[in-house]
Amino acid sequence: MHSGGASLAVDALSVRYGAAAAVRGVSLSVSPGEVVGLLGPNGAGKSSTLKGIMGIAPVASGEVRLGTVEISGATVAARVKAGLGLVREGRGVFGRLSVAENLRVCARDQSPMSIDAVLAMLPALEPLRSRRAMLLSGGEQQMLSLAKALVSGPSVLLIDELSLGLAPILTARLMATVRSMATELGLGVLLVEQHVNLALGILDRAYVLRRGELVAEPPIAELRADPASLRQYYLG
Amino acid sequence: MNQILAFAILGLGSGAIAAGLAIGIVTTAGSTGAVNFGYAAMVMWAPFVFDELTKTGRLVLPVGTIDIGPTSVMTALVLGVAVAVVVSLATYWLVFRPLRRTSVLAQTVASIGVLLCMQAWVALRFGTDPRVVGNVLPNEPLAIGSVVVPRDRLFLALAVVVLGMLVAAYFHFTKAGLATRAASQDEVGVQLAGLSPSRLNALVWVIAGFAGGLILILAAPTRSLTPTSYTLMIVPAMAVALLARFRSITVACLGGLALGVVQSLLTYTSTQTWWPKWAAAGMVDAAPFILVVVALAINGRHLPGRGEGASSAMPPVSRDSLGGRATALLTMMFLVALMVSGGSLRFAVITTMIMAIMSLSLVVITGFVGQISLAPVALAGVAGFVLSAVERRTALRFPVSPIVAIAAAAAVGFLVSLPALRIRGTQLAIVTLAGAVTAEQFVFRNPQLSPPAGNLISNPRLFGIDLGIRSGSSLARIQFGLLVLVLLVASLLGVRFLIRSSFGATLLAIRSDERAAASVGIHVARTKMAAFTISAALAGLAGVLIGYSRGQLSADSFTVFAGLSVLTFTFLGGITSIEGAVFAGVLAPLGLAYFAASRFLHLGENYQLVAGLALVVSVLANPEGMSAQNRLLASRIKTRLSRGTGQVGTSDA
Repeated sequence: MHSGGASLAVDALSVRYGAAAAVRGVSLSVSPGEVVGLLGPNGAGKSSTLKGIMGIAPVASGEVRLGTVEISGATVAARVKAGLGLVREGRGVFGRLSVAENLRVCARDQSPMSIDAVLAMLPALEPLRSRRAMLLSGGEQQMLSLAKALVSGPSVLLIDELSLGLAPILTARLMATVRSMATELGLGVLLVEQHVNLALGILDRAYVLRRGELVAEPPIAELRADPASLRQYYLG
Repeated sequence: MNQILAFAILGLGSGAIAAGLAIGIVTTAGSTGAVNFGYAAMVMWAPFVFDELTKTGRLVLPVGTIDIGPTSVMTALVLGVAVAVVVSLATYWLVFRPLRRTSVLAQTVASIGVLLCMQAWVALRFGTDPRVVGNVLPNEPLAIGSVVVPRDRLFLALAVVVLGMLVAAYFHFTKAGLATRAASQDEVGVQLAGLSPSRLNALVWVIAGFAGGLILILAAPTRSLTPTSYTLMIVPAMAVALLARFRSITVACLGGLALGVVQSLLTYTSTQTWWPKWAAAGMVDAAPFILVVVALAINGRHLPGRGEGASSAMPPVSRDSLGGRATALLTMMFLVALMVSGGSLRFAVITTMIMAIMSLSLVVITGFVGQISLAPVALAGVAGFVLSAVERRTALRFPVSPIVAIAAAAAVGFLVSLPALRIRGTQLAIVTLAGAVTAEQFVFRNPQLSPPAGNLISNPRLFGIDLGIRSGSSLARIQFGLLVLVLLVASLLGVRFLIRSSFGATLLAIRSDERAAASVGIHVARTKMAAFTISAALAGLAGVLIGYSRGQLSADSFTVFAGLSVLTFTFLGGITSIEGAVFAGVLAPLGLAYFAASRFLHLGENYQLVAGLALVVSVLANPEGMSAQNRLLASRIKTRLSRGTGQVGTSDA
């Protein structure tokens, strides 16, 4: 997407809400074409990590680099321009705007992905172009949310809870789309997902987060073979 | 028939103003969420700059003047609009952008601060004499049958429609416009699209400054130009914007034009012989109020739900404020002040006490219940005028006549509460503002309802003692001061009792969440009505006392601006605390601070500008109101004092 595809490197990121530290010294990386999972129990700091990387949560310390560009202090808009994208938890769509208008707001001239190209990847949205986003079903809104992030042309996409409130079959379909985009377009993906079983199928690597700290980087093959083994990381 | 058509066309002039301003209000409200009461005052720089340039060749800016010699109409138009745009942008950047995440109350109050500032500022720069502004649009007479009307009204209507279409097109067809609409719902979402919400909103305020400035210059020839009258053009514009639900440019545009036509037709019909004489004056000013009521009836369902009230981030209420010892101290202070002062200083002390009662009425309704009301001064006016009418027509005198007057104010307050059962936040502020304008124009200034000889009020007497403020050469008698002091202390204690009672607890429950309050069995409607009635009675008491302190009542004591400034000073004093009302009384016009400012700082004519600026700055510094700071100060003073008398500090601060 962003030409060449840059990799994301996060070094010792800490996110604090007032006195409460949500994320402590997390370091991770995502290479082009790679789908990386960020797993962990509720309240582990997964969403806060994504928000910290994106600059919409208060970062106390740490460094974020996209390719060779250091973006730690940059505004959200500057990070988007540098090639970072976030699909927010809970369907971040502009309800009063139509699907096409939603995409138009997010599309950027520099983006290698045109609106038409994105709709070709998510064909279910095509017939809904002129419908108001608030009238879409949950799955359609989630797709639109993904499409919005894609038309801004990210080289690394952060995805927070793609499955939230969706039927497993829909989630599986969206996961497959994400996988194929990563493989075909060299898009790096950092995925936060509660439904680990659904996510495991598309992950290349995974980090496990507990109480704001990275505790493990278990081999995917092992997790696929025995998903229950993840529990030991959660419980510590 | 031709005459009716002619009047309808004439009405397009003020209709275009209402429509143009409503478009501006909708534009900014739809994007930043701020309903700006100061909008008309803000963009009226345009016609003033334009007029001064075309007549004298001097470019008078908010700060500084440039002599550029004879100027063409087009150059003057461009420069006038440019000044309005710059003022609008500066107001956004300095006031509304920093406040964008604060409560509706803070934003409303700040916008009223902007209104007061801009009005005073323009008056300082250009004077208050009415100006007749030259035409930009072609103005040849147009004959309709036997009637001749100026052609510019039609061009004005056309201009405002084109303007509306352009603005609507911006919001629907450009990426920036779409993103602005998106940002009003989801600021982070727009940032994630790589855009800057601040920059988008700044653009919207530029558009609003342009639209308002342009329309006011084009329409200025239809109305004489004064800072006050143009500031108040916000009222019909707000009514129209409310009808448009602060969203639809189309409704704002057509509704504004229609309102102007209706107002003009009302002017026509009120000259007819069959029209009741008492309704001849002020009908034009009542029209926006009627429109507001109609708009609420139509849109009631779509107005903000009661879950999203004005109460978000309201400052906390201290139910333990101004205890017995503090009240005693306050009483002593006022008593001493009354005794040692004389003449105009004592009058300032008395005014301070009266205005404290007035502010107390706002503390009850806005501070405790979270309803932004601009009506207290109008309610006070009702009481004052009823007092005068009762004394003129009946044999009732003090103390019966003021009680009747206060009851009348309470009754009107009860009526005001009826719309407030369905609406909240900014909407209520608009209703009460329109209502206040109606009361001023339709009642207080109506020659049929107020005798030309003036509304004389006799001195209050009790048991043969003259409690009047004037007697012979004495202009501020202590007897009246003591009467006011007794009533102030009674009001303070009464409100303290109120907020500490279980009824007070229900008020606070409603303030924080109406739905939650209802769910635990609080009768929200009945409680609100009671609070409005109590608040109105306090305002009525203040109105009666204002009447007695002036001896003769005039509408000038109860203008819309007086109403705005009471909200201003009460917010500055601390709208959620009882002692805040006393601070507000000190700050109010003709009160002690005003007296000091005009006597020692010679601030007299700048007082409104300074007060408006102080208001804006204080909201910015502390969007939750000054009460917390004042309370801290009060407790420090009290601790200091009680230490001085060898007592241990009290618990109630």
